[in-house]
Amino acid sequence: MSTDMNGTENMIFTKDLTISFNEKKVLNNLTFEVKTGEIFGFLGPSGAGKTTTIKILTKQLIPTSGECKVNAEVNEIGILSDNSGAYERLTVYRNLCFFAELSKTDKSKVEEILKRVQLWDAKDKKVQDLSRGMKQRVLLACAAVHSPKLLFLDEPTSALDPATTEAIHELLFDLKANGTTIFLTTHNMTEADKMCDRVAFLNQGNIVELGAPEDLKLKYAKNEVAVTYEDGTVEVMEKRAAAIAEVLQQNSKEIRAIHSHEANLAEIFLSLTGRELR
Amino acid sequence: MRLYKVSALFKLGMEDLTKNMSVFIYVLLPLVMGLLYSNLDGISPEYNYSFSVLMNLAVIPVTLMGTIIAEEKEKNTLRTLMLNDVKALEILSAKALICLIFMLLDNILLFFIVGLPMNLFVLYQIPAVFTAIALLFFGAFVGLMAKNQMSAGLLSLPFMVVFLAPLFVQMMGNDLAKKISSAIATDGLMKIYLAIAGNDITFSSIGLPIIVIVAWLVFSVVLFQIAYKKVKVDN
Repeated sequence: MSTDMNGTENMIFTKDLTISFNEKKVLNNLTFEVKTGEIFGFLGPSGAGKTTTIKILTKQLIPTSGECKVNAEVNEIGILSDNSGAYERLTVYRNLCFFAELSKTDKSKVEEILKRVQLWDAKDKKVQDLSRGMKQRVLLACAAVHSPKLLFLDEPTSALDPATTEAIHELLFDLKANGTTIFLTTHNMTEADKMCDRVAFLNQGNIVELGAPEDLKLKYAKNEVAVTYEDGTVEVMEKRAAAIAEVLQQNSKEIRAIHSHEANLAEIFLSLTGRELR
Repeated sequence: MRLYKVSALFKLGMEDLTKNMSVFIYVLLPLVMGLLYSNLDGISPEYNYSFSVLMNLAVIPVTLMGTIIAEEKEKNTLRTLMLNDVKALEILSAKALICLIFMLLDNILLFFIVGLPMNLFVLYQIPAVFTAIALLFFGAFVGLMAKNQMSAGLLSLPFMVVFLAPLFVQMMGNDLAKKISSAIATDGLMKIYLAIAGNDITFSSIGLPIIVIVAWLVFSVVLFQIAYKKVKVDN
């Protein structure tokens, strides 16, 4: 099993992972590792190959070539994806109890996780009577009830309102604190920035950038400062103390704010690929 | 195979099916047929029972099994289970157990509806269960190949026709048709039932029918394995 520079075991390791469908390469020589205990964001537009990567890592697809290793047994993995489902004629609580029973998890965990995803009050409702957002939370609870060592989440908050999204984020941070490694795909750059220790940008089957969000923002930061004056005008200048002082000295207008012009993850992706994340 | 997983799947499956109205139609159909036939003149209880059991075998192990597996596929719960460290054999065992229980329940009720002698009760059930096991694999095959519940119903139709064919061949009296029919598992079951009814349970009377049923069991297992390998991965 591969280790990083500190000798920590990687939870996921891939080398030159490639898959083709009808001779069209969907993933092209993907090489990355996910460190144990981190939240790893896999970002890219629709069709970039995010779900395909999860399917290979969870053995739902066989790669055309390359290597991939996952340092967790099947019973130590949780998955929430478009292909996840619950028993719709049964109640939320019965579904959770079933998945807990499958993994020999104590039923007390069911109450705990249902409260964490704000579904305890709806525990006696049939899944078929729930809204899309509530169903998504049921599926997340089912995937996480056994406190997995590795959790794959494919767009977990795409259908959720901000309050529920916040609750989900707290749950994911709790899981991370308890040692769960999380592989997260998302379109939501704010979510990726907030949640992920490291992110990989995937475009047309290739990883075009990989690193911690803060490092990437610094790497792609524009060397500029935006000065907003009281009259609403904005002046962009070089981010150098002497240059800023010189411009400001020559200007008699009142300053409302000065912002450094840092790139966000969406801008970085756009600058790398020319495509927006959708 | 881990029994605690099979047990969890079995309990959940039973609970889920009792809330599914279409299942009751599958379970009631052979009972209604048995009830109707028992009120017709000129039909012996033995023939009525054979007819109703064959109907039961064609409906529950094939169509019901196929439909409940197809529903798991359609609602994405099959994929969720397999990603939750549940093996195909564990899912199949739980589903098969559920179908066997419903089938046996129908067979027992039919036994009383038709009015056969109680001393033959166990003898009539053993070959039916044995044949049902072979047919369950066809049901599983149908479930795996079908995209949804509706297509499972359609895919199971040819199997139903084949497994019900021996009943109609009996009425036709065509020798060639009888020869072809003797290679069908349910025809084997009918012959075993005839031997039981005639108190002629010897190797010469039931040996070949048993071999036919075993051959169908092997065939159904192979067919199921081909289907399972096909749907196991997405590429």
